[in-house]
Formats: sequence, C-alpha cells, structure tokens
Amino acid sequence: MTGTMFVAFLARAIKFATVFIFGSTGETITEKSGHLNMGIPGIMYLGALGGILGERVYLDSIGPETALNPFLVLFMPMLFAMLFAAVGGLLFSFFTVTLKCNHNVTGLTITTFGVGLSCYFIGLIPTTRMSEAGLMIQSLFVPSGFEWGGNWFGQIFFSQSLFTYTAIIVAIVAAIIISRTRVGLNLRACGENPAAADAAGINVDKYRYIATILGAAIAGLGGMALEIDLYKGMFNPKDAVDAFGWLALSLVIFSMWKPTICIFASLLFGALQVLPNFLSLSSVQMQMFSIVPYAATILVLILTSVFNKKNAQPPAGLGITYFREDR
Amino acid sequence: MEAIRFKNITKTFGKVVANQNVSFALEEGKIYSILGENGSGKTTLMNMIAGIYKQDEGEVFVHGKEVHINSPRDAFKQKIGMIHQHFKLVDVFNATENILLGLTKDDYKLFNIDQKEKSREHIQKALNDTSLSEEERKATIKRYKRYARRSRGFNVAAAAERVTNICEKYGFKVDPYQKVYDMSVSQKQTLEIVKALYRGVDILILDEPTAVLTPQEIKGLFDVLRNMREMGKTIIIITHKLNEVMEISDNVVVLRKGKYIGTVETKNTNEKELTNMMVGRKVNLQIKREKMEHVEDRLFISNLTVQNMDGTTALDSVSFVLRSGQILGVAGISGSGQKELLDAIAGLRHYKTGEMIFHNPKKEKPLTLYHHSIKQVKEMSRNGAFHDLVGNRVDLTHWSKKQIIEAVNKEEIIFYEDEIIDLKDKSPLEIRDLGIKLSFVPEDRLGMGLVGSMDLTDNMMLRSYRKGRGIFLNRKKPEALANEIVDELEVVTPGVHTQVRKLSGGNIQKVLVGREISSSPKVFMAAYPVRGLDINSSYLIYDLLNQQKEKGTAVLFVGEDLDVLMALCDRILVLSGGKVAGIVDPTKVTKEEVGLLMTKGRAE
Repeated sequence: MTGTMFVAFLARAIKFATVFIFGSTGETITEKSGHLNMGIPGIMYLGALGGILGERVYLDSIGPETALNPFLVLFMPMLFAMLFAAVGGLLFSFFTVTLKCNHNVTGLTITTFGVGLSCYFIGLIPTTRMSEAGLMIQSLFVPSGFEWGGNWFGQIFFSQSLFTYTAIIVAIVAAIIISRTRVGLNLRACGENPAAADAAGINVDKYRYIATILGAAIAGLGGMALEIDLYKGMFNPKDAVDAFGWLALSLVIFSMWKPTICIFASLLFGALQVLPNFLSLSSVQMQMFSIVPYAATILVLILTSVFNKKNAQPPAGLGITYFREDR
Repeated sequence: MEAIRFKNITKTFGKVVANQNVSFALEEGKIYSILGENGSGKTTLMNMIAGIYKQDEGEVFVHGKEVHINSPRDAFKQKIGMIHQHFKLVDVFNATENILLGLTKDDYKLFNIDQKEKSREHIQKALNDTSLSEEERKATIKRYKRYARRSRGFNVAAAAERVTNICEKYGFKVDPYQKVYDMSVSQKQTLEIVKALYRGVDILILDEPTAVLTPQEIKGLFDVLRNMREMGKTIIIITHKLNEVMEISDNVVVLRKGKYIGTVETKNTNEKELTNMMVGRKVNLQIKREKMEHVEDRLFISNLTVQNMDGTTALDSVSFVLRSGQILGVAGISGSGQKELLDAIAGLRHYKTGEMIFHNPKKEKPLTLYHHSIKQVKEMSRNGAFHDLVGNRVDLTHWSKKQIIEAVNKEEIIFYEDEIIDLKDKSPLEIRDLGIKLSFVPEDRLGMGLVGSMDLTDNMMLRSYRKGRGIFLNRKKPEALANEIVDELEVVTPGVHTQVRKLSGGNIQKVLVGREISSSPKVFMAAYPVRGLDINSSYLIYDLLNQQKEKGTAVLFVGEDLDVLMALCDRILVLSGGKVAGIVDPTKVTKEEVGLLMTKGRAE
C-alpha cells in the first residue's frame, strides 16, 4: 500500500467508524439501563429510512434549481432519522416494560420489522439531487485556509463530515454521563440491580424507557450516516445496514460497555471493514475477511470470561424484565 | 407519641388475601417485633409502608397524619426506611455509590451545604496540627482541596465524608469506598442501615435481619439497634424467631394468616404464649432426638477439595464420616461451602482431590454389574467379597468374562459384607441409584429439584422418566406417588395436576422432600429444608428427618437456625470458609461455641 492509499484508507475507515460509534454508543446507553435491545439492526435501518426521507422532504420543499442550505441539508436527515429510530426504541420499551415481554424476542422482532419496512420504502424514494446533498455534507467541515486534500493530516481528520465529529462527541458525553453523574449512577443501578434501584426511589421504568428511546435515536443516526454520508443517498439493498447493526451490537461487548473504548474499537472495526477494498484480494478472501470483526468479539468475550474482571462484565440485570410486585 | 397507625388495611394478590382488615398503632422510640408465621402477611404489611406494595383498602397514618405511600421515594419522604431480607444493593458499586443511589438534586444540595467552608476548616486544622507527619498533612490537604472542588452537584467524596460521620455517631464500621461484592453479609447489612440513616430515617424496618448472621454478629446488630432506640428511632423487626423477639423487642405485634391478633409487651409474656398467639393453637416446641442403637459408618469422605469456577477454593480438605441412624448437621455462615459439599457428594460437581467411599448395605443381595467393571469384580472376589448360593466363598479371578456375566445374571454371586463403592467416577445418576438422595433447597426453592411450570405428577417423573415401555412414559405410578405425598404430608394443592410454581413455599418443600424420601434412600441430604416454612411445616419436616434416621438412613442436614441444629442433630459439622472448623456433639457444646467455630479462620 502506498502512502496516499494509506491516507485514503484511514480516512475511509474513520467514515465507517462513525456508523459503528453511533450504533454501539446508543446500544451501550440502552444496555446500561438493563435493556438488551437486539432490535438495533432494525432500528439502524429505520434511521437510514428516516435519514433519506428527511433529505427528500427537504429537497422537495425547495425548487430544483435553488441552492442547498447547509444547515438544513444536515439537520433534516438527522431529525428524521432520530424520530424514526426513536419509534423503534419506543416500541421496544413498550413491549418489554409495559407489557413485560421477553427482551430477545422483542428485539429480534423489531429487527425483522425494521429491516423489512425500511428496505421496501427506501427503494421507493426518488434519488434526485441526493448525491449533491451528500457531497455537500462531506465538504461542510473543512476549516478555512485548509487546502482540500493537500495535507495527509487534513485528509484524515478534516475531510470527514460533521456526522463523524458528532459521533465522537456523543460517545464522550455518554461516557461522562454514565460514569460521572448522578443520572449515570442511577442508570447503571437500573441495569445492575433494578430491585435495588427501585428500593432507593429510582423510577426504573422511566429510566429504561428514556435510555432505550435515546439509545435507539443515537443508533438511528448510525444508519443515517451510512446512507447519507457514505452512500450519498443512493440506496442499494446490498448495502445491508443491518449487518452494521449486528456489528454494533458485538462492538458493545467488544468495548466492554464503555463508550470511550468504543470510539477506538469502532475505528478498528471500521478499518477491518474497508481494508479488503485496499488490498487486492480474491472474493473468497474478501468473505473470509469480513469474519474478522466477529472473531475479534468472540476473542474479547473469551478473554473477559477467563480473567473474570468485575468491571468488564455486562450489567447484571441485562435482559431481565423488572416488575416490582413480582413474588 | 404515635409513629405509625394502620387502619383497616387489606391487600390481596390475585385470590390470595395477604392482609385483612389490619389495624394497630406503633409508638415512637421503641423496638417492635412483628411476629408471625410465613405467609402471615407481616412482610407484605411492612412493604406497604416502605412503598413496595400499595394497599387495596385502608389508611396509613404517620405521626398522626394520613399519608399515601406509592413508592419507596414517598416512604423516604415520611422518613421510613426498610431493610429487605435480600439486600437491595448494587454489587459493582462501592458503599458510597450505593448510598447515593436515587437521591435527587435537592437532596445533594441539602448534604453539601458549606462544603467549601468545611474543607477550608479541615485544611486549616491540618496545617496547625503538629502531630501529623509531612506526608499525612499533604495527603489531608490534597483530599480536602479535591473535596472543595467537587462541592457542587454530584459528589461522591462529600457523601463519603457524611457516611463516615454517621458511622462514627452510631459506631459502625463501613469503608465508604469498599465495593459491595467484597463485603460480608453482615457488612452489607450494616451498609443498608447506614443507607437508611443517611436519608434521615426515623422509622427503620428490618425484614428477618438475623437470618444470615452468626450469633456474634446478631449480638452486634442488637447493640446497634438499642443504640438507635436511644437516639429516638422507632425500629420494627420482622421475624419468626422467638428467642430473638424476647431478647430485643419492647413490644410484640402478632399476625396470623393476614390478620392482626394482638400487641403484647415483651416483659409480660413468654415464648409459649407468643407461639400460641402466632399459630392459633397449642404447639409442642420440642424436637425429639433419640439415640439409635444400630449405627454404622455409611459414607467416608476424606480430604475433599473442590474448586469454584473462578479457581477459588470452595472446599478445603474436608473429611468426615456419615453414619446411618444419625443426623449429621452442617452449620456455617451461608456460602461456607455447604452447597459445594452436597453437590460433590451427589456427583454434580467435580472435585480435585479427595475420596468418597460409600458402604452400600446390600447384605444378601446379589451382585450387579451396574456399579462395577469386570476387572473390579475380579479384584473384589480375590479379597473375598462374594459367596455363592450355598454360602461358600467364590474366587472369580480365573473365570472368563462370559462366565461371570452369566453367573451375575443368574444372581448366583452374593455379597459377603457391605459393598464398597468408590464414588469418584460415578455419574449423578449412578449415585442416585445407590440410594444417595439429595433434597437440595436452594434460595429460590425451584432452582434445583423441581420444575415450577410442571405439575406434581410430572415432577415425580423427573425421577422415573427412564422407566416405562419403550419411548413412552409411565404416568400412572408417578401420579399415584404424587397422590400419596399429597395425602401423607398434607400438601395443600387443588390437585396433582397443578403447576408446582403455584403452591406456597412450604408445600413446594413438602413435595420435594416427599419425592426424595419415597424411594427409601440410604443417604439423605437436605439443605435448608425449612427455609420459608411456618412452624407446623417445619416440625413436620423435622419429624420426617427423624423418621428417616429411625429407618437407618444416614441423614445430612444443612441448616441455618443453630437452635434447631443443636436440638435435632446427633453431631454437628461446622464449616468455615470451606474448611471443617470442627465436628461437635451438640449435647456437649454451647451455641456460642458453635458460633465461634463458624467464624474461625475468617478473620485472616
């Protein structure tokens, strides 16, 4: 790999990492509350649908010749993606908290639902001017005085869309809230021992609802970033947004439920995702390569079990429905 | 002054009435015991003022004012705190974090008043204090500087300081930064009490606080409670242990089957009267212990060492002999290796080193090849273990395999003495077939032994599923057995086709014990068989254990109530941290001595 290729490789890896950071940060927030939301792949797909729909709504609202408004180009897909994905999170919470359903069954149902629904409707949305909007988003964040592509540092770190920086900020803020604040302490208590949290006067149901909906909204941004930023709004069912969702789920385990670790783990996963395109590999080798992230997750699972580290374990109440008057 | 008044409280769970028209009042600054059998509704009643349950009917008054308590938060606002039987603590949090749980911004503000000023004072004090070394002074100053910085909002350091203050005031020992998973049971309980005091609780409810403590720890707890009473707190203890009621409480409130029976002053009553109030009729509280004449060594266990999954040692060189016609009690703080010991004997857990030799009293019974290989049989015959039908010794060393199998099938080879079997490589199934029966009652009761969502008959079949024709099950015999158990042990159930989960704890227990003793075991192991049972059912279980002993079964009884162990068992084996701290004769030692053995070696 030559130097320029390597720079391109890194820049591309960071782009993919964005999707993972959103997905797994959202899921980490949800899991900290004790909800095992396996619907993340579906929810990320819903986010993708929302993103494209939001962009379409904006593009349709202006004339075909009007110049694009940078703020709205960015803001509309984000808003719609978060709304659509939040509906997925709301559904999940409604089933598991209010109706006390099994987490796994509910999650898988939402995945199936989200993938099916989004795949069908995204295909119906016209793609006029979509790529123009996508390119605009990509070039929005270039500090003035910076020659586009002139410098390797700029190419790697400042050629990204605003989504990437948002993702990193979201992950860091999430980490601070979870580990340093009162809300975070209460949230973790809900995930570790809901009965204890309840006895201490914490509204477990409320925390779980909010964490799940918020987590889903953040994860939805991942799906949107993939479609709008990486694929420039040109949807192809082969993009398989849900595959990124499953990887995001395993990233949560890989990063041991810590959003800060998740940023770096996402970079690694992103790199693994794009590396085959930069190496001259046969199609069989490409297939083999896509196993690596999953294998790495299994390895981390094995290592954390072997060393049995208390602070690398999933929340103790993960996946358990809580009902106060349960006897 | 009145602390709490209940007026016509009724609470139902589905069709089950937990509390019916309960009305009584508690006064401030006293220690109350709420006494009642399991299922008498005492915990349910207290859960209502702690905000866990909500009453269907009736009113609660706190300090004379009617209150509506809908959640634990509301309870804290009324300065009521409850310490549940299963502690409500988050394992991965430290003590302070657990205490801070659920507090709101306003609470924080309340506790952080003048934090900066206070830190300044502390720093000044450290600077002037000449007794401190340079390093200590630096550390103190650093600590309070950090403390002042964090004086707003979420503040673990400030909370830790307050925790330390409370501990000093009441005489507790709590390390504010110790993780809960590193704490012993009694430390966790202390933490729960501190947590309640941190929230300024005036009325403290403790649900079965002594169930998991050693006699020494119980004494410590009672001292703390008396201390709190001196400071004007009202304390309510939920219990069914009469001796503790007599020792600690000023007044006793008795509940029976969800109804209020009466309140008596402790000094004007005695255990017998309380029992009669609690049960509703006269009860004989004597546990009989007869000495059997025919006692044989049944199971030899030597140097048994078992490791946990995480590599820590659960049992360390445990050696003892289990004898027929005796009950061997196992005492120890919960988690001292009781479960591992029973699991190892039942073949459910692999052990690293050690031997378990079972003397199977198969006198005059023919040899089968189920438990022995041909090679073992030859070896045994050389030692003269067998005789033929006429009574002459047989030596099978030179017989061919075919000849031996033929003779065994014709039941021509008979044991001279006890069959000696090494349990080392036997599967749980083979061990069961030898008559070593385990009636293990884990904390959730349905975890091992019974399947909650299956009915009584199907649960009987868990032991007989291999019988029957071909691939089909034989349902008739298990059903008959289930009926028999229901009749004999007075199991309260709508029928043998009711899901076990729907029965009450005591009845579930009876079903489990009944099934295990139905096959006339040679070794019978029971772990916590009376946990959660009322007095009547408990005594029924003790009787059943005694019956087994009289039949010549070797009984191993793991219990938690030392009084019962002392009264029932012929010998008591005390486990402490996976080691045998001693095997004692209960007629010759005191309860305190056993308690000391339980904590032996734990301090290191």
